[in-house]
Amino acid sequence: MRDAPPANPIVRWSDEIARDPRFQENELLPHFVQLQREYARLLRQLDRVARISDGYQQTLLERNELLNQAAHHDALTGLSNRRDMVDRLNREVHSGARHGHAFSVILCDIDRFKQVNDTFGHKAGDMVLKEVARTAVETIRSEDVCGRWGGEEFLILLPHTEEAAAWGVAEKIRVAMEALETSCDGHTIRCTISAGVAGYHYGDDIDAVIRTADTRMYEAKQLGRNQVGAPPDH
Amino acid sequence: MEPLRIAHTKSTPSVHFDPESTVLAIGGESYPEDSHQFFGPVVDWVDAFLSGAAGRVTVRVDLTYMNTSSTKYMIDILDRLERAHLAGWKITVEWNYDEDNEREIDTIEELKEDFEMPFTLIARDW
Repeated sequence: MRDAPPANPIVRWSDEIARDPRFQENELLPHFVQLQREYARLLRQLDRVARISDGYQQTLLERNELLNQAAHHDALTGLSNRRDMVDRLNREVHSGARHGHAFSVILCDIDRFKQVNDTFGHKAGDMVLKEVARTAVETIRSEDVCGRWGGEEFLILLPHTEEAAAWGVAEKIRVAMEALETSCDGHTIRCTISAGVAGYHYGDDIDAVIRTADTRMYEAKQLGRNQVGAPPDH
Repeated sequence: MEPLRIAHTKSTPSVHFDPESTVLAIGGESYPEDSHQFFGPVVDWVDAFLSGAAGRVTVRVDLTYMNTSSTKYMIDILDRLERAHLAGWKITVEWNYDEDNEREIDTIEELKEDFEMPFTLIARDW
């Protein structure tokens, strides 16, 4: 049982009338008492309707939250999905335009990921993706955001960060991945990543910046993988 | 007495009240734009039905969502059934719920507290 709602002044007032010695012989008193009961019943009903309605509203809110989560996150890794990363990039471009600060992006791709799937199966592939995502999140700084950009491709947004510093972060990620071991069904799977870094400055086209990161990542692959493209002395 | 049959829509539940089988079933989602327009005839039908000779009735409720005014009307209908129950009708309410939704269980537990008529909770079989 819940606490009773606070005493209603009309209930108190009508109790006083019902108890008033002057009205005890009044022939309307029984009807009045009947009305009092009906009123009390309606009050309880109102209270119940409100609480039940609260329950349904709370359920709706929670479902909304779940939908919202699903709309912006990748189900496998829990990272921001591509749509969410695009929103974040656009917000960063706009805030950069207002405050004049730069930011950078890192595009990473797991090297020879197809081989993992082909050799160990998709379950192992999924585990590698999860582990890579977790490792990336643990390695980046708290204000950086890592999202799943495509199949085995991850995009990291580094606010207030120049290209050279972003390259340092990418290199840390690369080293962390090199050390990462994923265990699956008795196998130990090791993977490396290739990455490309690009900086955004006020007025740049964000799509062109992503393309630059993509080109540099591709160059890193060409140069033998397990490396980060562009800077240090770019 | 004619049975009451209303097909469900996106925002209104299906209603199937059959005086022959004495089953009153309502199920679906309920958030009508005008709940008086929807529930008015339902309440009227229940009133007319309960004004007849006392009998046995099974009320099956399977509502996955109710808005506030629908909740009010459902309680109105249950209150009428409760009065009939106290006046000698044999009424059983079977209320379907989602096992995974604890809040829904709490809600129904709270709902049944005020009634003397038998109120059975039935886990929804998806």
